[in-house]
Amino acid sequence: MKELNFPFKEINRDILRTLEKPSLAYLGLLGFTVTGVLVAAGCWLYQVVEGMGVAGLNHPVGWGVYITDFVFWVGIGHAGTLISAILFLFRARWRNAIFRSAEAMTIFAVMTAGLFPIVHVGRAWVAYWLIPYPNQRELWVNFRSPLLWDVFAVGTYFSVSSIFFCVGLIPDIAAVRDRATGLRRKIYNLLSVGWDSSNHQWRHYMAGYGFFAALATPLVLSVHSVVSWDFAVSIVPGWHSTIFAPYFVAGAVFSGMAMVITILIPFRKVFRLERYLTEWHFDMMARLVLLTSTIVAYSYLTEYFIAWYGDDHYEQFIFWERAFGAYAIPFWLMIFCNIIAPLPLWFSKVRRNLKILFVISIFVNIGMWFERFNIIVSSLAQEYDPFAWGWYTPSIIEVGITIGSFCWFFTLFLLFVKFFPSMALTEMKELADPPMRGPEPADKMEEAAA
Amino acid sequence: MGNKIDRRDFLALMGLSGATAATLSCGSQAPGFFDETWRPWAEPVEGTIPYVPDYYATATRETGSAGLRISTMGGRVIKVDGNPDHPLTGGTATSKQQSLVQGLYASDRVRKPRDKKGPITWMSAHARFKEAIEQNQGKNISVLTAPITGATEKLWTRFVSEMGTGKLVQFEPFAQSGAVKASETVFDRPALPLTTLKGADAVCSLGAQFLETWGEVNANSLYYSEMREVHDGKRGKHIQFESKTTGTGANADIHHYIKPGSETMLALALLAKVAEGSTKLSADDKSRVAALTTGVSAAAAAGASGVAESVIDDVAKALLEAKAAVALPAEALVLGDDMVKHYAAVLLLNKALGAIGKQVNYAAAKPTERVSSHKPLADLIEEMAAGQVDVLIVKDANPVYFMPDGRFADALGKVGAVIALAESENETVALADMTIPVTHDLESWGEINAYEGLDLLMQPVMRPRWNAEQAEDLLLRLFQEIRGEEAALFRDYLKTEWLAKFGGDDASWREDLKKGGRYALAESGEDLPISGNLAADFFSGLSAPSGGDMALTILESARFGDGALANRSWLHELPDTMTGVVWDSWLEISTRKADELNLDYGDVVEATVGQRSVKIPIYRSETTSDFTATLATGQGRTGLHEAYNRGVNAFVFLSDRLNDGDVFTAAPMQASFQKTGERIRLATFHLPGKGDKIRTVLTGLRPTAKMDRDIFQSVSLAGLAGHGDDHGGDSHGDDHGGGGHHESYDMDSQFPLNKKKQFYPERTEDPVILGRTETFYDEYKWEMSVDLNKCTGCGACVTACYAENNLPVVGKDQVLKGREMAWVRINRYLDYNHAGGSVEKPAIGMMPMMCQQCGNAPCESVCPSLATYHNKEGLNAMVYNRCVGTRYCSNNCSYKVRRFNWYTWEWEGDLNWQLNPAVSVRQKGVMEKCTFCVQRIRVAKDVARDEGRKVRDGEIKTACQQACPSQAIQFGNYEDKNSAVHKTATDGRAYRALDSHLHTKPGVSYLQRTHIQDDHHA
Repeated sequence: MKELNFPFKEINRDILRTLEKPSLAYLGLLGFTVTGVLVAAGCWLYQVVEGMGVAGLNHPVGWGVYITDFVFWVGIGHAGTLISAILFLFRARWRNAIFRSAEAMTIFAVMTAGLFPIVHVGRAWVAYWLIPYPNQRELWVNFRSPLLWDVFAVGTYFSVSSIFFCVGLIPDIAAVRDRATGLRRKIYNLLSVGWDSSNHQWRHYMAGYGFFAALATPLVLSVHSVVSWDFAVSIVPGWHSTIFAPYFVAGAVFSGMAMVITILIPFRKVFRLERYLTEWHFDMMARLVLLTSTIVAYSYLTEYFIAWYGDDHYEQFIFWERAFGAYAIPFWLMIFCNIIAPLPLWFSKVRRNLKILFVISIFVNIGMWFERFNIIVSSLAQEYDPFAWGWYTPSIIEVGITIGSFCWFFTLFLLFVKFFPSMALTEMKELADPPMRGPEPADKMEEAAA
Repeated sequence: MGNKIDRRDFLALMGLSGATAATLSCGSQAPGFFDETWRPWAEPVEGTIPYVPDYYATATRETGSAGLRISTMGGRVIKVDGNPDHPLTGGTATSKQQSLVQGLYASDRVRKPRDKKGPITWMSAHARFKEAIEQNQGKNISVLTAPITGATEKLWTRFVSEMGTGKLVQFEPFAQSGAVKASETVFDRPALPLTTLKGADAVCSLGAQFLETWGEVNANSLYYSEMREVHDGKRGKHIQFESKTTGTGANADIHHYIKPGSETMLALALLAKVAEGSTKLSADDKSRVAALTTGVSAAAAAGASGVAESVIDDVAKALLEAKAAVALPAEALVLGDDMVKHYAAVLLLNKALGAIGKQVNYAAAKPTERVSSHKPLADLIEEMAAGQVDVLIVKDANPVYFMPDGRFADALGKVGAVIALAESENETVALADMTIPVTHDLESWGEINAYEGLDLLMQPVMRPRWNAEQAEDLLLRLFQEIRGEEAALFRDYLKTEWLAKFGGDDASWREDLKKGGRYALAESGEDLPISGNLAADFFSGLSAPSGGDMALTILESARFGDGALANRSWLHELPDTMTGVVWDSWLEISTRKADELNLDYGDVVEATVGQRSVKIPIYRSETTSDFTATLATGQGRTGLHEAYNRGVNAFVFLSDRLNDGDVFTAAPMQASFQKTGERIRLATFHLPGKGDKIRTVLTGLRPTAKMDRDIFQSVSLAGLAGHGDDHGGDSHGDDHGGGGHHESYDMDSQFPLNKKKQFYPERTEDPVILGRTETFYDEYKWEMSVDLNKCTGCGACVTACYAENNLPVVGKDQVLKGREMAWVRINRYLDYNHAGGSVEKPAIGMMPMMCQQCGNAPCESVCPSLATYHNKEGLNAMVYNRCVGTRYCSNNCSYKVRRFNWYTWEWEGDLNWQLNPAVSVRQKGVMEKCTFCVQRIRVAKDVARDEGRKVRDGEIKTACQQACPSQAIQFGNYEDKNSAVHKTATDGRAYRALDSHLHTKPGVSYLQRTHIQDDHHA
């Protein structure tokens, strides 16, 4: 743990450096992502004006890339709360350095995911009908529909995660406030809601934070379980499966952790935060990736086993065709990315080699996207009545909106990085030695690691 | 307040002032001329109620002998149905007949008079028409028209004979003069007998597509379905010989592929065998037939046709065993120079089978003068080419399309003046010197004498859509202007003629108009003796099949016929019964031949015969023989609205000389097929070669891989009678578990390991579905049943649904993307190891698939906005306005019968005039589907409520049920134990699709298709 070695007094300076005047590269990147968002907005507007026909969707494949994106982004949104809440409760100290950015990622991922139901529905202008509230139309919603459960699950998750996130930010915003001047100071002053770092405040804050962590923990498990029920409660062969909830949660953590790795490796490099985000952190994250990869692999096998053992011809057919039929390429891509590619992570050298880790994390992201694509599309394409089968290929509009969703996500993240401390100052300080206690943080870290 | 006016008075005053304004503004219109713009019905016609349809019985030349019942609402035609009073049509209507309304509203309607330079005024059109006739009086003024009869024909004949020396030439592409000649040869009766399957228990077709194009299709379908009804484990047999499986042949019990061109030899071989064993022939006749067939050998016929000799024996035996068998000839188009011989052989065969006078009814024949031949046209072309024709009036006929080699078009150039009296644009009209718009048959008066005893009246059912007059009125005006005769309208002319012919008075005239004509069709006639003039060597010198290894065969299209119907978007989007292709032409060849030639779906080949060739995409078919490459007629039009000028014109390959029956035909020919390297994606509703296999084929495995899908079920007659144990084979997942309506599930087959345990609760005690038990329903629970044994797969139901429910036509590009909007489709399945099917020749099953109105609907529970829900009458209702468009319902629908509006679809041209006001038109982003024609249910319930009674069984007919030519569909109240639908739903053959597997409790029950083969070999 020698590499985790930073003096207490430099923490504020190093981390808040990310908030300084943006470089040209940063502005260029931001310009690129904003352009992507605008292009996607144009695609969506075109779709609203023309109709859903501009997407590649058809009969029988009524769901395609949009729902894939939705599930993908909800999945990405899992890592943050897992890290900040569950690992907080388990007192895994390696979370301190990464949880802020992971949490931000969560919020932004859910914000991205939240766009897709609106992009996806045929009449986006009446999408608010899915929200149950007393209204003059005398319309009510169908509480039996899993889509409505989604509205609640994702809505709850988003609100709790955002509150958790905002509460966690308060002491750090206060630190920024103390260094800021002029208008910025006024804004940060407002956002820090009068934080003065008094002992009294800290006592309440820590208690509250613990409660929030406890509250958020079940949501980590619930939200993707509910999302998985979008599929599992249907009677579509290939969807109708009781394994979906744990399978989806594991997959979500898998993809979420991979996304954290994907983002933090360049982030660490760009802002020269090697001292704070060490290989040890990445090692720990890679272990989680490896663990969830094995769970996901086990789920794939279980699905096939049940299809064979269940003796349901329709289901057997779907699973056979998924591997050998028209959608074989996405399937084998998924198998490679999610099962084969993470295998080198068994070696600690690989886990600590950030270049390889970065590549693997990208593979996992691709694999998890295609996992959802496989489940959704290949099941719908060949259901009970062979005469109604059909193929689906995404259209350029769907591709544009999907790329735009990544741009939207990164735009939010880039803005976040510039306006808020992307590592928790206070919690990093917990890891460092107090100012008067000598320059040997390594013992403490080893203790924490154990 | 002093100036109080109550609501009623206010409305009355408003109505009065509105009516006055409308009257004043309309009063100045010249009679016979109509405003083109549509106005609200401000001045209601006395005795009509807005939004309650008016019905008119009529007939058109396009639909020929069929009787039609036209629904109009607000003065517009909205639907074409069969006329229930008509003895042959009944209330049914084929897709072609229903598409008539699209012809009325077609963009191709001629709207203004014009000459070669451009539009001209009506006044000048009249003047020039009169001038042309007046100046050429006494010269050759000829008229070319589609077949006309009765008063119409009389008037035209008078015109031609009085005005000049020309001729009245009647022309239709599929002329039947060959059959008349044969009849004259065999029976000395130059007439076309009415041939139906009435009362038959065996039919042997040598290629006639009698359920699609041949003869009286409506009557054939109806009698065919009667023939297929199972009584005491027995039903009639259908034997079909043809070179590719047609929609008709798909229904056959015994089906054999033959080499095209061998039909006549086969007919003679059958004749020899049947006559030998016939009990219906006198000894004298037997020897006559034996003499006629001396040169005929079954071995030679078997060799020429490619079937085993034993097949001929077996078929002859089956026909002799039948009580009432009838033989049908080959399709006229494939008969070359032996046409008369072929028809003669089939007539003799029918004589030997005892069908003459029964199924082949000379008492209700078409006399020879009403049967068209191509000889007059050939003569006319000669005259025209010689410059002998001074004026040619063309009406309805389109020989330029029929003769793509330009023979007619070239000759047309040598005619003094060509005047087209045209209702729609076509290739011939485009060449006319002057074109005068005339009214569509639905806007005209006329008379159609179909058969002896079947005389139909044609009456206008709406005001002319465009500013046009009836052609016959133009003639009468000419008589008035040139001859100084009294002004007359054709309506009065027709009435006078009609009453003179049939007797009667004004009242009977009105009655005839109401009924659609006079129906005195003789049920049966007498058996005719074989003519003494029939030479013993009549059948000698048959030409051998000339097609070579794989002959190019032209067949009449079941959708477009002779091409006159190619401007109908409904027909373009109706999948071809066997291939499922929409919007394009294709060349159908077997997969084996395609593999040999290395051709894939859509590969464009150039098919060449001598100098003539077409470029056409390939359809790899598993339901055709290796003997033939088949091309259908009716496409490749060039004179239509651009959307419908599609495919290729098969008439390119028509012979350029008359055959022995005085007809231009296209006998199977040897062609070369050259791959061009181009590829056209053929649009189908299903995945060709994949989605039509009922026993699922896993990628990479043989098609016989055992993967049952119990959505389509069939049962052998033996199994049905309980002789054989048809259960537990690889055939049926479910022939018992019908929607929980039965007393109990068959535990043995569903839960073989635990016979006591019931997994699903009975419907009556099912607490899961929000209390939706048997008592959940009010007095009605609407259900439908479809007898798969009767369904022929013709697609009339599909078109009826398009017409009734305002379904949009989406076009080829969208069909390619899987976005067709059909609420009911015909699932056409291939079965490789059951029902007599094999890998070489799969059995075929047709299944109309519409919303099953599930009692336990997967779609309902997943809709987040409650846009779809179960109503108290068993309907799976759909509230369009409430739909947000998540498409989850469609995903979760196991039958895939929900359709999503990917765009706000538009109707081309005037086609939106046809829209049914009782059904809302949907916008983009909304899901839609079949609701058992809920608008018709509402009307019937309103009527019943007004009369203080319940809805009677049979009072409501859904559009598909009404149109179905084989009456395979029943609809009614399941709660009523005596209703037809309850009876069929509880029949031994009834099953509910996928219900045993999914427990969706469908409200549609299917009756298993029966097949005569035993399944035990499978």
